[in-house]
Amino acid sequence: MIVRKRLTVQNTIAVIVALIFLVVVLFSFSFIGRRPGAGEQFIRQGVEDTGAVNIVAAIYLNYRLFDTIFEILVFALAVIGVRFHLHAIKDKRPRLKEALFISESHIVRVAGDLLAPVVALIGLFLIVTGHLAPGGGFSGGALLGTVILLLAVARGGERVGRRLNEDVVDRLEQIFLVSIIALSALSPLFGRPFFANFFPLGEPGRLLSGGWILLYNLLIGGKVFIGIWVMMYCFIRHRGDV
Amino acid sequence: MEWLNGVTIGVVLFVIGLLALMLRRDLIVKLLGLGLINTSVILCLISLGYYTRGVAPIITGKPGQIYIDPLPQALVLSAIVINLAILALSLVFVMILVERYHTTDSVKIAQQVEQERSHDQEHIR
Amino acid sequence: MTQLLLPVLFFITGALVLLWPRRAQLITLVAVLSSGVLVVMLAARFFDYGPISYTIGGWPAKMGIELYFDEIGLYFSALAVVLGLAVITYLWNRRMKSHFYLLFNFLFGSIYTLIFAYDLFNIFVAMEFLTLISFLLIGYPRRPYQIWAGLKYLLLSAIGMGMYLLGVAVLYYHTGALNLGIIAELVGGELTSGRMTCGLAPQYEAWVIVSSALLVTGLAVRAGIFLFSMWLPDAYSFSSPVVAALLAGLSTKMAGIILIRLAAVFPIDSVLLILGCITGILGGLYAIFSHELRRIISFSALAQVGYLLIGLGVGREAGITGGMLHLVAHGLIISLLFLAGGTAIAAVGGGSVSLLNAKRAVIPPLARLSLLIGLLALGGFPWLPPFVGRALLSGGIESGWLKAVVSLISLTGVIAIVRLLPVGYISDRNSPFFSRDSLPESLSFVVLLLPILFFFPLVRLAGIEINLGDNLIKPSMILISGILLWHLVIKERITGTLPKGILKLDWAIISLVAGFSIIYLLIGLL
Repeated sequence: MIVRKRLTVQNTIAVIVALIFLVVVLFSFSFIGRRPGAGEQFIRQGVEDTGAVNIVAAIYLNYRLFDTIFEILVFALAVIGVRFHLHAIKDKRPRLKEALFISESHIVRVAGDLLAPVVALIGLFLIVTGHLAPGGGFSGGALLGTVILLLAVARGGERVGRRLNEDVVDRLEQIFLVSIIALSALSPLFGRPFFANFFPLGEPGRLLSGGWILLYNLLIGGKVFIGIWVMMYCFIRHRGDV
Repeated sequence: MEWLNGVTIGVVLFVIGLLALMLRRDLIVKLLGLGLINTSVILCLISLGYYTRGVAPIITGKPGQIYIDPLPQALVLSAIVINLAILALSLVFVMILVERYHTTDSVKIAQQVEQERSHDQEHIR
Repeated sequence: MTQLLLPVLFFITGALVLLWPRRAQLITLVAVLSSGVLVVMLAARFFDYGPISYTIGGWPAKMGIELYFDEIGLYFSALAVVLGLAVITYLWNRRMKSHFYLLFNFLFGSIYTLIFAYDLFNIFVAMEFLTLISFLLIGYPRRPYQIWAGLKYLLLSAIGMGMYLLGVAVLYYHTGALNLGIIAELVGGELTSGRMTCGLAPQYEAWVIVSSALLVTGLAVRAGIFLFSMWLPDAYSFSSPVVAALLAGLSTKMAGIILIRLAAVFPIDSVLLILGCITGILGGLYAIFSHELRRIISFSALAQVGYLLIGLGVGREAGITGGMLHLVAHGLIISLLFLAGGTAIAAVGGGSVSLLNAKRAVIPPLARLSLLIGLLALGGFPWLPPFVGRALLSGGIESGWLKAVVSLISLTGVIAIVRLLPVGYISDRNSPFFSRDSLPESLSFVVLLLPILFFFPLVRLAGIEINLGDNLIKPSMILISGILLWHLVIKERITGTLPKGILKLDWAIISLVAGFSIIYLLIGLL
């Protein structure tokens, strides 16, 4: 029965088409594994140009900052869209009595309480050392967002959500967004072209180095942290629970 | 085992994602396929910039090290966020449709949408 | 030239709309007006000194992101300014949520980026941003069919952009660059290094073929080409008129711009030619067999992309300029049609052709006039905008069968619109041309009608030579024969519809993936 249902013309064609795609792409990818010298201009000049030891951060927040602005806007748009459209669905927010009832087991709660500060610290560390080591605003911010998710799992989403004043959170998020865009437009005031760093570069390898990368990482981290929480809170509310 | 690298696996995953999008009628599975497609492209990008004995592009000043290409890694960061945004927004739209029609079957949803539209004269505004 | 950072202006105003939702309309108007000033400054500089290149942050082009302003930038940023003004005035009396204006600002930011973009990854990011904005705009009034159309759009274009990114990855691996200029040198260097002499191209390395096939497929989904972007008819005809105008007039045209830029770099002429013929003829046929105003306009939009592709495929300068001008002209026309059509449908109470024709007296006169002019322009009426591009285009075509195909596409376009022409027939002269309630709407029609009516002199002003007299006969012949054909032969025979299966989500995805293989084979073989 099931087999007969699946062997339709459409599915056969789909499989054939996908296989052709696979063969075509695989056999024309002349991938030989190693191509030294790619991106060497960044390796050579990156530290000197930007003062950041982590070249990925240097590219991400200096050479290709314009792309990053888009990326932040995409993220902001996702948050705005989720919030706008979820209002169309009936709000399934449980009543206060239900919300305060903790359904999870004791172990989850204690483990959540124990883990949350540690994860939060790691997130902050990733944000602050984004220009020295792997990390940066997005990964750190996402980690901070998961801290609140952890708390929400342990104590119920509604209880955590009530703690954070929605208006303040919204305002903060908007301010982060505006300052991220505006910071790049401030450069001409300091005699530099738009989207060029105007902070002192500092000594590479120190915490206070890399020009505005640190500041940008902090702003992006805050934005992503709040954004992820707002998105998750919307989903939690319309699903009823975590 | 030369052929078994990130790029090959990435392309295979891409095709699996395409198959999920073409063969399955469930919208949630379709979204999973979409996520798989985007992630496989990210895998391809990362592996294309990787050398077998390369080091992460964090300049330590030690001589004789080969750093891997930093640019694809910076690009991947943007691609990941875009992936997240697409999945989140499409999930919201799927939620709205499910709320209305109580099914995730794309064919049934399409039929009901068509019916509703032909009955609904309101769409003109 | 820091004026090229015009997109950032819209991002800042978008963020300001977030902060002050009550002033959203005013902020947006200021943004559109100041973008107009900046575009004029850029154009003045372009006419004096030629193309403008600007690398963001002052880095070298190999490391940073380059923005580039040339003819494409000139025409399309002018189009964007006009459309922005028209839509803002159209909405002046309506209470839109600030959410809409936020999306509007971001939409223009990404559109200006795409007009100026010269870096493949920057194009990807801006394109994805544009996808998400258009998706939210389609679903903005939250009706279920709009949500479904938006979801279809998002799924298809996300697959397409996945393919595009895969193509960028292959290209980056082999050339080590993302900047189109540098890639052009590298690919072109291979072209001239002696291995190729004839027009056939098995001599390309496999990676050039596969990466250009991936890029073209990805963009074809966004550009509105038959087989690839089957999200288009639903998205255009179900979304609200303003959104449809923005989507059809600007958002979809952006992929066309990128295709123009890519066609100068990669060996994709013949593929584009064949895709152009397919989309032109099939889109025209589907338009003939549709019975609703917005459906007809949507399918004819698919057909009109054919001209651009054929122009790019011909490869001569006349062909490319013609295709490009046709794209701009079509952007103006289709947004006028969607806006005026929206007003007309709202007045009549339904979108079907018979209803519109029967109740045409209810439609406000200016909307009726705009509809008539837009429809005539779609049919290639001499002097009106699309005529200019087509005249240039057919000047660039030499082979006989291609001329036949272009005439056939024009003919289907005429046949599709003939039955709507009675809408423009003015039966009573009593209704006032301007009324107080509809003043913003009328003003927006005027904003769009002015460049449409003066398109020909404007193009001449920009320095493109077209002889009006030589090109008068053929379009008029096609127009007249189309009208005659409709009334004498076809009118009674069109009852059914063409198969709608291809508009379904699954088949749309299958045809998209199959289309990739077709493109790959064509690039490899031709």
